[in-house]
Amino acid sequence: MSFNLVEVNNLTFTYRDEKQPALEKVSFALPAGSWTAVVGPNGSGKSTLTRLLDGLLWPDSKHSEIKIAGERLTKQNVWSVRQQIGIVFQNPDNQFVGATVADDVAFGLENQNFPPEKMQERIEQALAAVKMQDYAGTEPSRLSGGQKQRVALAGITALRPKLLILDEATAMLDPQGRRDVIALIQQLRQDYQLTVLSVTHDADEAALADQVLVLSHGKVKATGTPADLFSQPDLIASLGLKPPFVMDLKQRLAAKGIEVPAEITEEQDLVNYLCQLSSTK
Amino acid sequence: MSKLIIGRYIPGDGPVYRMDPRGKLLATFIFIAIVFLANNWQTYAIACGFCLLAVIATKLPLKTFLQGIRPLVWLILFTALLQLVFTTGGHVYWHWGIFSITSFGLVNSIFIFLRFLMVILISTVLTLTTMPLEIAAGMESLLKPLKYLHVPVEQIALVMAIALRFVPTLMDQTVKIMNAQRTRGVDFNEGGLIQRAKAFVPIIVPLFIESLNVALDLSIAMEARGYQDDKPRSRYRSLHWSHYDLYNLGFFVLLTVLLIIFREH
Ligand SMILES: Nc1ncnc2c1ncn2[C@@H]1O[C@H](COP(=O)(O)OP(=O)(O)OP(=O)(O)O)[C@@H](O)[C@H]1O
Ligand SMILES: [Mg+2]
Repeated sequence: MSFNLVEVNNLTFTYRDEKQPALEKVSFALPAGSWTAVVGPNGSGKSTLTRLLDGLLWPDSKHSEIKIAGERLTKQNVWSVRQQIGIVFQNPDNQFVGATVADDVAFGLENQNFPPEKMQERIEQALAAVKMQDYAGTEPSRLSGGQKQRVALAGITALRPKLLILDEATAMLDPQGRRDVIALIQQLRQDYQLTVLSVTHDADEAALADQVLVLSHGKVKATGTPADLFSQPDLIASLGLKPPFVMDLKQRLAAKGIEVPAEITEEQDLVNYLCQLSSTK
Repeated sequence: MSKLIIGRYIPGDGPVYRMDPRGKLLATFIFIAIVFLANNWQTYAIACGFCLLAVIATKLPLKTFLQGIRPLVWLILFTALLQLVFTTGGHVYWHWGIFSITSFGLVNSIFIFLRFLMVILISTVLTLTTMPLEIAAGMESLLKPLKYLHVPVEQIALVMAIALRFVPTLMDQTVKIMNAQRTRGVDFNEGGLIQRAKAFVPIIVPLFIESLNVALDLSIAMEARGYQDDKPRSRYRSLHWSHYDLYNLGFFVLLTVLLIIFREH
């Protein structure tokens, strides 16, 4: 049975002293356990959306509604609702609060007044889950960007939230760091039954999602599965996205008369298919 | 910059490392206060002896401490020199205008020199063996009574801890900005004092803007992670007294008693 962990209805938000709303009548739902990618050009309101979901900003009017786990987000319950949400931001340095890795993971626990005698165990477990257990005493200045983001993820999983929001969490990482962090998020999502909302400019990352939400000028321009959206080259181009490598290659092959079956979406499967294709010829 | 060891932590396993930061802070303050009790050869010898014992109890090589003193050696010598030439009384060895070298001056300048040296050594013992974070935690704990005067002790301690955490980050940032300006042809080592000072404006301005950005991002991240400044927070780094602290404080109480007994009344 699947329910919606997050329901957003008619969300409109305008920054102070701005004329245009940053978000206008946005509605969508995140089924529990799903992975949703949010894509859209710069300034389309993606970060604003993540801030609103966490109660860091408040919608313009009472007609906007955000429900997390069936509970409507209000200023009264924001702190308890926020305990169910973890956000990883873009800049690895500007969200690292602790003087060491262990201290940073502890920060969220301290904020929840978590019993100190149980903290060490929780921290070790969280660091092991992101494979950073050997760095507990390390200072952030000695970590790579990818390692810092993994520590941020440890800080979040230590709190056992239900919703993980990533606001371009991999944008400042090198390709290898990016792949590692994404693989790790997929692992954590399984281990902790997380629902994921991932803002990204990276088409390969969006292709991993169950659903993609396309924002443009503060409005939802399209929703659908990655396969749906990436088969609309005009839409993808209008967002300034490059289609994921596999989809791109499939389209180019199709243009040359080689139809690859739709169920092939992974790079490895495509390689196998193409090898097999050439050996049967 | 890397030579400056004051305020730097060096990992180790001497007895001083096992002591609670609160005890070490207290002991340091006690020492700085009671060193003024010393006023004759006996008391200075006792204080120096205790100071050396503290240095030995860190199990760090003496060289580390000498490096710590080196940047301050001119300041110490200058102070001692002032004492030497301006103190009057006792036997006069040399005299020129308002300057004179007298037996009192000689003794006083040696005392000043020793006092200065001991204060630096003891503070270095504290900072070498205690992580900045622990010092901040110790300060917070010691200053807790001020909460009743509505001083936001916990918030101040958090600000201190975050400031310490961002020192290396901003250092890296400074190097990056300097390199970026160098590629644009700025030379930081050329020209007179004013020209050099001017060359630092294009470093300070971006650094300042960068720190503001960091602060804004960080405040959002902290709120997202559930930080509320008016709610009770538990502590990961809880401080514990142990028998090492008994030795530590006992040691300084003994020193105080000895100084009071042997000083000239
Ligand atoms: N603090 C603010 N005050 C006023 N306007 C803002 C503020 N933050 C963002 N905006 C504006 O709101 C709109 C949406 O911004 P937002 O940061 O949500 O976009 P985004 O989709 O996350 O962009 P990017 O891909 O660059 O991260 C933009 O037009 C932006 O200029
Ligand atoms: Mg953004």
